[in-house]
Amino acid sequence: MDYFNLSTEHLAALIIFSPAAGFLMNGWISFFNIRFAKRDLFVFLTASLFVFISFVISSYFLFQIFSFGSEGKIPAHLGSWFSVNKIPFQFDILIDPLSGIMAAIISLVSLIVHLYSKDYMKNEEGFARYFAVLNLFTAMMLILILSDNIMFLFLGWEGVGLCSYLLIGFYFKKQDASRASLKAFMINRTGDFAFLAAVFFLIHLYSQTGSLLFFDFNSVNFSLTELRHVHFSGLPVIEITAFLLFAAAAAKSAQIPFYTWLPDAMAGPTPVSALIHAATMVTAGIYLILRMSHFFLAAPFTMDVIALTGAFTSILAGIFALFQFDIKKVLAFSTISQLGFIFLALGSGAFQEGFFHLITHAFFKASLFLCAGAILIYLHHNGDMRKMGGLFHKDRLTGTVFFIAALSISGIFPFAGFFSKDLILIRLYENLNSGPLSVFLFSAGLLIAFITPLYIFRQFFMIFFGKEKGNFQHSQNMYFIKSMLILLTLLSFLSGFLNISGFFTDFLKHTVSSMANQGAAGHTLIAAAAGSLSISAVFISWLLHIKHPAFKEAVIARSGAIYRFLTGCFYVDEFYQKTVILFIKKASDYSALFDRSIIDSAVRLVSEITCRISRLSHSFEKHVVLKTVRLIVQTSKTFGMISRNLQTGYLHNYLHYILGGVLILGSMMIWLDLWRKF
Amino acid sequence: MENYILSILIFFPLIGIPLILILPARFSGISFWITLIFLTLPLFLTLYIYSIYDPANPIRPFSSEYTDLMLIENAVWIEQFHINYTLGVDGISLSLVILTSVISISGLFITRQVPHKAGFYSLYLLLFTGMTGVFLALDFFLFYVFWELMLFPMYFLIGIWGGERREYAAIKFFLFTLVGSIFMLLVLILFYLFSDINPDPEIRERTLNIVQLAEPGVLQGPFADGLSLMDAGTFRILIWISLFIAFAVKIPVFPLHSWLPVAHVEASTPISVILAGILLKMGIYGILRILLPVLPDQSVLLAPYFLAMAGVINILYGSLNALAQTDLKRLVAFSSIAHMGFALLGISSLNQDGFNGAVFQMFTHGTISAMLFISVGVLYDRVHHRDITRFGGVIHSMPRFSVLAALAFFAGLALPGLSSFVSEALCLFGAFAQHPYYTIAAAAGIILAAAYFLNAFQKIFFGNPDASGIKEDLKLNEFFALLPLAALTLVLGIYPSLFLDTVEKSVFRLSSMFF
Repeated sequence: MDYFNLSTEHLAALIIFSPAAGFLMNGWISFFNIRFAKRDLFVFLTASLFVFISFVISSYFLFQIFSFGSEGKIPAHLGSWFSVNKIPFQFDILIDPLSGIMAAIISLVSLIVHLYSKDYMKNEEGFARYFAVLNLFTAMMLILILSDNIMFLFLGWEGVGLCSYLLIGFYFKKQDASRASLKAFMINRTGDFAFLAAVFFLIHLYSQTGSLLFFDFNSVNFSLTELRHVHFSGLPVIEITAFLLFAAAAAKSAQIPFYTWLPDAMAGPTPVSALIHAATMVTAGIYLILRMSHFFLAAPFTMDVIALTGAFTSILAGIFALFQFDIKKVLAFSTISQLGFIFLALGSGAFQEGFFHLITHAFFKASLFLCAGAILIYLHHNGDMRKMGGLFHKDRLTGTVFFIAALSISGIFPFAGFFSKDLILIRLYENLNSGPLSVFLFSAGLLIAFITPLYIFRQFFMIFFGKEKGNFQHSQNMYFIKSMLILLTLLSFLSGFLNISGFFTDFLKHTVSSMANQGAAGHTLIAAAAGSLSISAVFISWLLHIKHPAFKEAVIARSGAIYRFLTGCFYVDEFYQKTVILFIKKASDYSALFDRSIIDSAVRLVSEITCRISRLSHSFEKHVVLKTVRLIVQTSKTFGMISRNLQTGYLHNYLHYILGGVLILGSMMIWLDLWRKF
Repeated sequence: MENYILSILIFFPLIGIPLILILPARFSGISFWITLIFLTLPLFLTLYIYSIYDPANPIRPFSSEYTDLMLIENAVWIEQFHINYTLGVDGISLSLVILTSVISISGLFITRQVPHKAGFYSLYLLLFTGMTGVFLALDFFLFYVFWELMLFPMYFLIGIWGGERREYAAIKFFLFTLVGSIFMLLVLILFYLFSDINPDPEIRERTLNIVQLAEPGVLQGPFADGLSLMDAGTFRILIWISLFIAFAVKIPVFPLHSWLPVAHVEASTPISVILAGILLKMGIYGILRILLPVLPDQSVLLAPYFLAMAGVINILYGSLNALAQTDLKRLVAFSSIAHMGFALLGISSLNQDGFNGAVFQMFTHGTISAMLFISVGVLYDRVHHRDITRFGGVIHSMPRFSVLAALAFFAGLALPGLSSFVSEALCLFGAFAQHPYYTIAAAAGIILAAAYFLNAFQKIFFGNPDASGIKEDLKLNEFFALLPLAALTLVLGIYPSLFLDTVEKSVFRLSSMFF
């Protein structure tokens, strides 16, 4: 048994260490600029191999967990880190249904992106650097997923942020890429602040719960509802903490008000956008809420905030996506919208359903991005969709893949998106009788189901149909790209069937909590309604872009200001520029001014006063002390003169002096005598 | 030998000074190697002490409280004033002595271009003696002597080998520190006057031993001598504040910080490294070594204002100022002020996590600020300016340097996995238990830290590769200067126990005085 445990721990460690080793090796090659024959091939093969190892082991563990059933879990200890208030934060990992599924999917998508990058990044300058950071990202993401405590998770959390920063800024010569990377990191850092503050409170709560910092909730018995009585400055700590965690999640998963970094992040290489900014890293916020789902259920106010934020983000981003012209920015806003939809699900208590959508989304969104990557190769990395058209006949494979992924994201039967979206809508429907908020949330869900096909098919038609435009150039040897596209299509088709007869949600029932099922009828009705909404949206899109493009142009021409406002994404970026950024800039300028003028002047004043005092004492010395001395000298001189004059040398004069003295002394004695008598 | 190991550690480098000074001018190149040898042996000594330092197996030299002191040396120095030559090492001072050795050697590697080598290196060795002496002295008078001793070479090292306004900077540095020293001298005299280690009320036996002063009842109020100018509480509060000012100048605490940016900008790179890496730690060390143990009740009373609030102000003010700088060296200098704020905040908690964090923060900030200043020096060496806006695309011409500099910058903003994250997190977690509002305000500093570091990083390293006009990547000596610090940052980031286990006992002893 000991032997078994040992090997389990080693294997589990290997999930993380394998890509980390890849990072070290390729980072080494990149750092010392080691050159050898077929270096790029070597780098590519090793990097992919290391991720492949992670994928194999995590799938093995997933099957093992699966054989244990929904309560199965495999803990492993990798090392100790530090402890706070005697709470040990260790490098421990926990593989349970949630993290097991997540780890397998992340290593799989990462592997696909690694293989795809072989062709995409061909002959790029920083080939080794690219794969090194991609490996590091995979390791960090797996840390984030597999960690069993919140501090280790935070390591992965900021680690993926760092990798995202490095990969967005991969083309560091470009000014916009480096600016976008800075923006992404700064906004994520704001979320990290919220995360850290949440950890403050969780440590504070630890004395009462003995848990919450660790994700193995099942082993601890305590009532979260009792925690509602713990207050901090008049508010229940549990709500504050949940809210802070949500804020952290919202920054990572690009929700209102933090979402503005994600569209800019598209400045990075496209495979990176597919992996980090669509399938994996941006889902970390959702994963955090899933991990802490028991905790969030005890904070109803925050749950409502989550649902509302998700709904607004999703609708807003869907609308923005309709008015973008950059092929990747449409997909970025689509990601924000879909993540918002998942947040809407989480906030409504549909945790398992939200997770299911996260998985299907990972596949079909990665598939869309990788299609976009292929198209960008053909068109010399010019992503403006207005300069595209009729590409379907040039590359039927990419067109088909894009089409299937678009059907999937639109939620059309029988593609993956249909199943996951339908599940969420059903849950929203079931919640309907719990107040006006639930009505709003359900209608928001339907609205999103309508908007999504609208923008994705707008994109599809603009790229693949219509007049043939663009400086199209076929690329040779895109075998990796093509095979990966096919693989992803299969996955984004098949993943929908994961939940046949509740298999998926059942597997998760012990790890991810779920609100009681109210068992309302009308599931087929929902499916039919959502399905018809989607299909009508596709149809509208077809009418506008293929059948009657002139009508669309006419509408656009009439609505100048509104249209500009929409294409400018409501000028949110500019608003932040003028408020938050300006405020910080001003604050720092003023504090620098304060330092220069007030503090330095104070120092100068002190030195000035010291100098004045010394000058004053100098003049005191000169005018008072010296003059006094001179006066004394003068006086004694005068007295000397007088007494010298008295010394005449004549005897009779001296006799007079004696007589005078005797008289004075005698009269004084008589006076004193009289004084004593009376 | 074992009995005098600390004295050897402190004074051994002084032997190098005459060797350097008698060297003929044409051999002045060797003086670097002499200095290196005379600093390497102390490094090995400190590592040896680290290996034998075993707080589980204590000796109890002065007091049953201090079970963590080792290698005590005690000799009578000035008998009529009860001044002894007392040295000893505990976990906290050990960590700082190791830091001193590492930073001194790292700093030495980037001194290859300085003129007047003989003078520079002799003062450098003297500085080392002063610094280690401060960390190892257990007698307040001896502490004071080393404190002043270190001031003297520093003044000349800034004033002679500095930049354009070096004389102004040196005098400003000297005067500020001197003001602090006056307060310390005042407290020293008061401690001497009012101490009594003999329990018999008839016999007065004064002491300046820091360990003995910390024992309850040793430091008495003015009443014991029949003085009744003020009550004992007020008197002690005044002593506390005076001593705090003495240390605050060194840390530096707002608003006593204005010497720091000037001194850093004007000092040459190795001296900046020493300044930020070691000298700033002396203030915090003094608080931990003398202020808190000797006056614990006053510390509890005043910690929210003088430690917690000051820490938060340091963090936010330093960060905001750093954000406004265009001179990279000034930026790093202000970031030091912010980082020392975290240490202050950690101390203000008066609990184990906070102390752990503060001590660790001293170490990590020592290594990281040294890396940052070396990076500034590397850039200055090539382009002879430090204006952030005039750089660009350095990653292109200096890819290796960029990786190490990136490590320094990201460590500066406390990325998890790097040592500074653990130290700052400990400071914050510890402080949250005592001062939750201050701590949340301070935690906002991590956003600002990311802002100023990454803003500078982006402008310097990314962008147009031709903007800077740099041709040459890291030289070997620069690489050697950065490498050990980078290694420490990485290793302590994932295995902080290497450090925390060493200081654990001393920190526990400190924190058990309060709770």
